[in-house]
Amino acid sequence: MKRILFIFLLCFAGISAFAQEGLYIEDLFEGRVIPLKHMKRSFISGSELHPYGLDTYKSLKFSVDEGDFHTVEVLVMKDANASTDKQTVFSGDHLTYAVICFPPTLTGLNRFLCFQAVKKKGKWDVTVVYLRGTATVEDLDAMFNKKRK
Amino acid sequence: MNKNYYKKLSLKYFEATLSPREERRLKAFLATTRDPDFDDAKAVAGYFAAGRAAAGRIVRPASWRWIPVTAISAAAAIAVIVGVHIGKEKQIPGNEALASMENTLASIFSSGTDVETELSGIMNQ
Repeated sequence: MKRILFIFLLCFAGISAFAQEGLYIEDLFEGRVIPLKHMKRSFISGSELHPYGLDTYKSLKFSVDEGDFHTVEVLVMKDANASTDKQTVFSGDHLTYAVICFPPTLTGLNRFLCFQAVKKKGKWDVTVVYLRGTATVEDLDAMFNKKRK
Repeated sequence: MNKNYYKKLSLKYFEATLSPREERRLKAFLATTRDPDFDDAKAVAGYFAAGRAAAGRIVRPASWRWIPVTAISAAAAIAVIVGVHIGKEKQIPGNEALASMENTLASIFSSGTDVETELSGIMNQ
């Protein structure tokens, strides 16, 4: 019985680590920073995303006060430290924009974290997006940057 | 004692058509009866019982014993992960979700500074 429990825990830990993909921002997506009911969440995966060169799209939109915003900022900046490429924009002391590229997964998929924040009436309107797929940051920029078109 | 019933069971025993329940009943009966009509059935049943006792417990090689344990553990872990994942994240299908995704990504990739210039700067590093 002990052996079964040990192997179960080993497998659970391994698969959990894979699912979280080692990002600090996963805490936010799991609702450990801001309650899930206070965020608008979207999750798309599968063949619908293939035209975009993606296989996973996760997004969060929420409005928070200064304290919670700082917590989110810290998570994004921690993940930015592990990036291969990043583009960040600060407004004063606050991070207001980030496109962060992570090392590819074991299966060769690219991963990105996008962050956008705008202050309105004392609150921060925040959008956080996690993307995974074969598309590069250049592909995404070509597809979605309206300034280019 | 319903001799005909057990006779019928013993015939089915030799044809290997007994249900497990019927086999248990027949063996319980054979263990107690002294009726010579059941000697053949007793002999065969006794032979298999003696054979099992002599063979003892079947011992598999140590390396084999890990296989079912590992398989059960891995399957349970995968089931838990999949269950938790499905429970937490509800997939939104349809064009509405894709349109929302396009708007969000367009907002991100079109905003802020001149993304094209900065990205080309990153790529050229």
